[in-house]
Amino acid sequence: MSGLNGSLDGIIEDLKRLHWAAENRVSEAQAVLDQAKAERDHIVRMLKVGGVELEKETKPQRKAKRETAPKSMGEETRVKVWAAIHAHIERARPVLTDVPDSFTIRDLEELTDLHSSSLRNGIEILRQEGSLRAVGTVANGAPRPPMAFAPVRAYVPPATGDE
Amino acid sequence: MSDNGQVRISDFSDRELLAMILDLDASGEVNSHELAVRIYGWSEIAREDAKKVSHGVRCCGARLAWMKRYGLVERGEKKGEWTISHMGRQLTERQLPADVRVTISRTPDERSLSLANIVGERMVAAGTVAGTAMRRELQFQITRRKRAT
Repeated sequence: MSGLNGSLDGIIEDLKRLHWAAENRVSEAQAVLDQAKAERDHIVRMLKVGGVELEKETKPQRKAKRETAPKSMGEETRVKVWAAIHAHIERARPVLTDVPDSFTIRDLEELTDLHSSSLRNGIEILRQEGSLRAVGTVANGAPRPPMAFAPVRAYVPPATGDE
Repeated sequence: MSDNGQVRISDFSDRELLAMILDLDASGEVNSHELAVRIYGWSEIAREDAKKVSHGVRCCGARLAWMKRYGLVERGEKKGEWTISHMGRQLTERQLPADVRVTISRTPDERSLSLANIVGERMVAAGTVAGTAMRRELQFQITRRKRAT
């Protein structure tokens, strides 16, 4: 045990030395920085006396946040997305065998004339609304395997309003 | 999914993860590895990457540990096993009646503040597990809205 303590003491001593060395280097670097700043300020003052206008250092402007409307989906698109989901369900080929009615967005692309981005947007909205849920990722060997979704409950057409 | 593989609430809500556990096992018992395979979609080849698998399983375990803290899951008998808690199961299976859901979803924008107030009030009054589940579901939706705008 004492041997172990001895080696630990040695390690602690080494670490302390490294710590002091690092602190010394920080102090030295700070001193050099302070000196450089003082020289810069001195030169700036001399230039000002000489009537030279220096350009102010400007910070890079942050890009204005892109104003985009929240995602929304028209009723026609909504119906088309659900139609594609139902068409997939009728084919009875869930992408995850233990999750009935599961599908990927690519599965639906074959079943609708909606643009891929509209379809993706529609699926996201239905997921946010809680009508669809993400059920996992499909192991298809792709570098970025696709997410699978499934309806949480049977689709109710918005016009009727009951289940 | 985040680049570091973490299973964030913005990737999968608690509600989705609970349903995912029930997909894997109807009795609600699952281990971190099974859940990780479902979440990351590892192919057979990817599953041979022990480091990647180990990291993914740890990330799933971490998320489940948080869900345990919130009362949604419980630890199983064996290491790495998890079970949906009674409240977790109720929260997953019980849905709002269709008419209530439709009414809420059709609330016009100008009444949305009032709606948010009622939902907030309900969240404050809810029990510990239910209240936390509500808060986290709202957090999930807020993150998604931030991404969308």
